[in-house]
Amino acid sequence: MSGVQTDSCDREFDAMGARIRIMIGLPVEPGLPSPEEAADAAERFMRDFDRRLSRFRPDSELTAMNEYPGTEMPASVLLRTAVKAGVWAARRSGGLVDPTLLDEIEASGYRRSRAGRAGIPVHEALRSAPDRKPASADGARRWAGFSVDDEQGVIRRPAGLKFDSGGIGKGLAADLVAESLAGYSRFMISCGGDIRIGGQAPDRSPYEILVQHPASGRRPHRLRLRSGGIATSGLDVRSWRRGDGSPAHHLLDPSTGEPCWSGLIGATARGRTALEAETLAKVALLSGPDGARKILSAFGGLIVHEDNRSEPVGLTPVALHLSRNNPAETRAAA
Amino acid sequence: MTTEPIRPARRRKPSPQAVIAVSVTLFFGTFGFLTLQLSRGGDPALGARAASRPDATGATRLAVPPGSGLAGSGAATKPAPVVTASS
Repeated sequence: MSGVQTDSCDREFDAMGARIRIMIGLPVEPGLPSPEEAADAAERFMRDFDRRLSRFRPDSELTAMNEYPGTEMPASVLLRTAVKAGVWAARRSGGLVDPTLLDEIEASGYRRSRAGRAGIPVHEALRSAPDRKPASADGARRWAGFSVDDEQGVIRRPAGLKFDSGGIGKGLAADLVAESLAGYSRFMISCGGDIRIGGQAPDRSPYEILVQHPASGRRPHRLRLRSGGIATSGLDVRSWRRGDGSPAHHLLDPSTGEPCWSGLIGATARGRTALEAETLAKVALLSGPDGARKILSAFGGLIVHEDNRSEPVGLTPVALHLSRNNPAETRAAA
Repeated sequence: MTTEPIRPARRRKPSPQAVIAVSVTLFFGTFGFLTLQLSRGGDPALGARAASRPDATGATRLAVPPGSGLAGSGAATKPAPVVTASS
């Protein structure tokens, strides 16, 4: 039956500083909007999410919260949801994915959106990077100072503590859109490569996911997924040189507030949701090879070492197809 | 009149060949089933039920506009591959 094998809608657009792609099958439950209408709603939601939760917009709700001098402020459902997701990710990662490092990332040189701007080549950055060391959590656990009260509709936090949605935003957005698509035969939402897949048809065919190598841009690995999340984190994007010429990137070691050079240049993780996959991918990259193997063993993933070697973790040879000989599938990202 | 003590019926021990044959059949049956599931993208470690809702945030539902009907034509014959990359 073609309805569960294919998608009726395949939409792409730019938002949240990334390329968004939404694929939707057929409605299974009665009364649902058509896939095109559902994609319209999802696109509007993504743009609204970006407008309200971007730290780069002076008029966003997130910026307003970060500049608010008090300790308790009214907040929309969306902002409360984002703060809860950030605290969840911090707890899930033992504090490695820390949403309170806004001052540190800005001090490191990331003050404006880097969407569409090329990072410095990975191996050029590695040549002048500091000694390799896995990241560790900040013992102060500042993220635990955030609390959300949905009954009162407020967020509480110590005065001056800022929140950065950068580490969880794309995965969260994919998961929220996924909720609205639960009644369709199948769906896929990709926010810049942080992906959520699902659907209601029990015999739906899986999506093929190609994993892009952070240094070569090639796509040598392929996974087939019918549900869950998958996300990739790497040093090939959102990297820059500081005033003193030293390389920097967006993945900070919470214990130092400085970019982390762990011995890995990329990590791909599977998870039950896109948010979980995004969190696990970041934790794996920050933890270095030994830590990453332990973290990814739960749901599977892939790490990429500094010598460009890819190492599957917790994925069976059946789940992970090597397709090195197919140039059409391993072509570099344009 | 004498009675003979009731002896429990002697159970026949299965032959080693039978044990091996059953074990091998069970192993390859299970392995084959799991292989088929994985090759179709259904990893039992993730589970469709567990993945059906984000478990993390108690997230809000999207307000989707009212509409009706099935989608129009134009369905792709084969889904294009999707790429996960650093973001």
